[in-house]
Amino acid sequence: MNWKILSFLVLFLASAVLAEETVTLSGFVSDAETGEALIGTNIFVPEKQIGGSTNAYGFYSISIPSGKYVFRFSFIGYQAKDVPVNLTQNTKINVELSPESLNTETIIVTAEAADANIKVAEMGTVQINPVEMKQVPILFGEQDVLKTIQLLPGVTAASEGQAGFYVRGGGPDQNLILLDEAPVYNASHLMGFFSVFNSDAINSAKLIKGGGPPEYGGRLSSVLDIKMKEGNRKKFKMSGGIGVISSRLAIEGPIDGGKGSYFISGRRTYADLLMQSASSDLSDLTLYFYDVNMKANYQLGENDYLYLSGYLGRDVLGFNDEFGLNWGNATTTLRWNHLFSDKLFSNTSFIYSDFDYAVSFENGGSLTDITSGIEDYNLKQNFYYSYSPQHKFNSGFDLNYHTFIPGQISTSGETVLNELEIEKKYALESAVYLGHEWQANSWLSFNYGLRYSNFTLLGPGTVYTFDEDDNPDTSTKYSDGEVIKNYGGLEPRFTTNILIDRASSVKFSLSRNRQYIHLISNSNSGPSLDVWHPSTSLVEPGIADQISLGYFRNFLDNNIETSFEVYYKTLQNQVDYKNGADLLLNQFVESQLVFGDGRSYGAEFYLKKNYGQLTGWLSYTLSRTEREFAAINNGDAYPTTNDRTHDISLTGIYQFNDKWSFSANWVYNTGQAYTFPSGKYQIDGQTINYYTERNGYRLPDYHRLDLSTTYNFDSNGRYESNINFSVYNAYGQANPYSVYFRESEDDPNVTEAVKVYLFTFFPSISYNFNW
Amino acid sequence: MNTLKNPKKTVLFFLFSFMIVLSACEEVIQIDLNNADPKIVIEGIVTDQPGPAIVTIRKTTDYYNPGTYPAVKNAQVTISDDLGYTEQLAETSDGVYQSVNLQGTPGRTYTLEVIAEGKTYSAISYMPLPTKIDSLFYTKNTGGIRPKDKEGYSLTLTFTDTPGIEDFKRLKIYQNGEALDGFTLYNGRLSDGNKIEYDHIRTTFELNDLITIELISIDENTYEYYSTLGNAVATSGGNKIQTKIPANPNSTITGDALGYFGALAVSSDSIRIK
Repeated sequence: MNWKILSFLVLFLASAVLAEETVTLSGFVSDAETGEALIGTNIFVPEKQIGGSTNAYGFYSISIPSGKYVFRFSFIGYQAKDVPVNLTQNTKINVELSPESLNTETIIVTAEAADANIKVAEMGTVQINPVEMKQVPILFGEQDVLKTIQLLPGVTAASEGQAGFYVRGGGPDQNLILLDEAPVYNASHLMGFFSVFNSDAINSAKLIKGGGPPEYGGRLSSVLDIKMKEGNRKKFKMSGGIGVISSRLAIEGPIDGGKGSYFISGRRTYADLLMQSASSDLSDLTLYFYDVNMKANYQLGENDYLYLSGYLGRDVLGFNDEFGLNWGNATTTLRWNHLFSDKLFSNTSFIYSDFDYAVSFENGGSLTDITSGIEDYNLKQNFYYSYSPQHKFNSGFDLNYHTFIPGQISTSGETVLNELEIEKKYALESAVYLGHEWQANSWLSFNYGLRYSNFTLLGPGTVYTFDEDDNPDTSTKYSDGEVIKNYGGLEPRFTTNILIDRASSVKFSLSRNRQYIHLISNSNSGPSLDVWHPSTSLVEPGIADQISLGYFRNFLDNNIETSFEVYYKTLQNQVDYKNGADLLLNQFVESQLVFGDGRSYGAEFYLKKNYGQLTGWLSYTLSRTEREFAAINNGDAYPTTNDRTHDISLTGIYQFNDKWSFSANWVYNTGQAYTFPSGKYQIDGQTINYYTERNGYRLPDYHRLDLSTTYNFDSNGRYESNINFSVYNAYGQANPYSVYFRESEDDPNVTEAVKVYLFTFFPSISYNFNW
Repeated sequence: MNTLKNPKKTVLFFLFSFMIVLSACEEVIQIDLNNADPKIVIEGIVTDQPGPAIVTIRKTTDYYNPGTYPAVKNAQVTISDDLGYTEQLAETSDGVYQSVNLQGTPGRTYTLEVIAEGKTYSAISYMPLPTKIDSLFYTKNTGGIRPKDKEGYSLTLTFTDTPGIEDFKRLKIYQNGEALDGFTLYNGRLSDGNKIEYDHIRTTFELNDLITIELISIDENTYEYYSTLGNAVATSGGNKIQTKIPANPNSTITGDALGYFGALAVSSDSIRIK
């Protein structure tokens, strides 16, 4: 932690507070029916042509010369509201917006309100609307924020049906996934087919494809910032659903007459119950996951809000008592919002996050347990200072204490595996930052900032060096609290927006991100046995530099937004493994790693229709992603498995009437890069593939259509319900999940290629209600 | 009694079962593959069992060619040990070279030298002490994921890990005289000195099957070769799902050849299911 820089930032903020006579209107914006904070609400003053938006907690602050004004509050999916104010002194007004009923055909859209995408100096950023998210057809009918973002430009799915995602060529460990500010280390369930995010519990989600404001850091490629629902402040509500894979239930309601609220939701899958009933042989099989989300908030006084939120989710897999595997995340966030003044908003968060897995075996009374994980204690402080509509500042610090548990084996009785504990590793990751949003004039704005991040690997611990044969050469012991290795560096972020006319703008952005922790993964898609590893003397922090340029244009009074962005990104100090690496429970795991660089570049086109009976979006990405490792592919650059030359997704949602809505999405992409043999030979009487280049081939192109329809039943008092039918891969395209080669059964001398495919025409049904 | 439930294997077994439940389908497709320049492949084995040491030298062939591999003829092949014994192997058929007197002895280190088509290749392998098989037995299956599992028998082998040294082993299983595909490997890094029980779950055996199992002790390089070879085996039951990007196995031969030279100490046992 560099305190000098922090005090400099505070001084800088203080000195900025000298200027013209203005008064400030501030407050919170929330949903009129539920009291939920509306994050990213636009506020605009037509007379002055100035405005702002609510922050991640629903707070806004606009400073303006005193006078009579109309403040216009607007948010997609809500009726805009004009609030006239005679502003003579600092004033606080909390505003509530009412949701539009979905079938409203005539929606008045104010041009000023909805054009944030062209006016704000922000690139590669998409706000995911939870209402839309719920209407996109998804495999198993299980709504999923991670699968929805895969339909956006620059984002690709890990593979068929997977929740894992890659952003602009970055690896899956390069996405910072935050749930109420807590990092979620493993966001997938059940072999990656589901994400850990129960869509019932999500208020908003925002994806930043690199760069981004300086308060975010620690990962190279993207930030997915998910905020949980706060709960209904007005009345008790219950909602839930029953689907083919899982059931969900959520309750929410006010605390202390609306001074606060709570939200609790749970979800459990029951695939194992179905499988058990299908076959008695499976009666010993356990296979399920669950998620629990909880949140409560309370207004302590006029200027203080307290929030407590938590998440707990776990996958449980087992057979009889003989074998068990379970893994999951637990997070807790305690957050305090304080208004120092109408202009200075403070957020303090104390965060706990844990990911761990455990494998257990039982045999004749002897037990073996293998555990591994990562645990964080994290303190974040953010000051948001709205000095004037032209100048807004954001500054703070972040302290995160990591404990890495690479793996340990504990046993009782006479067991096959011996007891083993691989040394835990400890590190403090910290950062200070300052950001400035600056509206220079009516057509030029900037959003820039600087983040200084630091990573200190702390004792106790042993540092090994390795000889040419990867055998440990020397070892150095460090005592408790001793600094083993320190890394740090600046992360500049810069975005500018040049407004060309009322409907179009050009944006340019530059950024650097650093990443100090690395995922040591045993496979491409397997979920569970992943181990996080800190930067050490041998493993240097990753660095990503990205430059991007974009043209943004809106049509039809902002009903249609379009954007075209090009980017070029370089990645340094990427981690991969030697061929035949032994990663599992290996205290010398660093000897198994190899290091290299990467680059990714591409063009992204996005078109979105926001209003009307038909809404939806079209994404097209043309891109190339490569890695270059001295120890892999003879040192030649090769495309990553998730390199897709062309990637198209088209999503449409059609609100036919009060009763019926329909949605569809179609995706098409170039087949994933794949390693096929270019020759063969024999060893031990078996045919062996001979490979000449890594990922030099492609699987056949991938495409698929998904359909969904929802029927709303007549509401019965407070009770509302609907039924949803969906079909994944409606035209039954047999998209290859993998391709392998085998000796032909008819003639063992002949080799043939076989594709493995999943999910052709996979229907789902679910029933949802709220009361 | 202890059980080797290799953690990785068991987990994969469960995950693949899950994939089967999810109804993965298969279809033979046409994939165009590039042709590669033929590359020399050397497979050399010396064992502690009676019979000659055999070195096979061939070349890779195009993938869709029938399984005929061009032999490398007239090579000069010698095997020597660390006690100074050297023998030149004779070409008994095209590309196949055999010893006459050489018989491997556990504890010795062997060196292979090949001069073929003007290039020299060499490799070294240490022959570990053999590990005896403690027991070999079969049990009738009581359940399983697939229906046919219940009809069959599974095989169990027990042995004891050598205390104080890191054991590397390959298990080679023959069903009615025919070797099963794939490479079943054991490494004692996490189970030094323990009793090991191996349950063979990949194959379902039937009544009257004659099963022979070889417990082959190998050195670390040979182990690494076999373990990386497993990712490149092109036979049924191999890696149907690419969980990692495949690559050529880590050759133990210097001079840019594919293949390996292994000194193997073999223990074997047989059983008939009755």
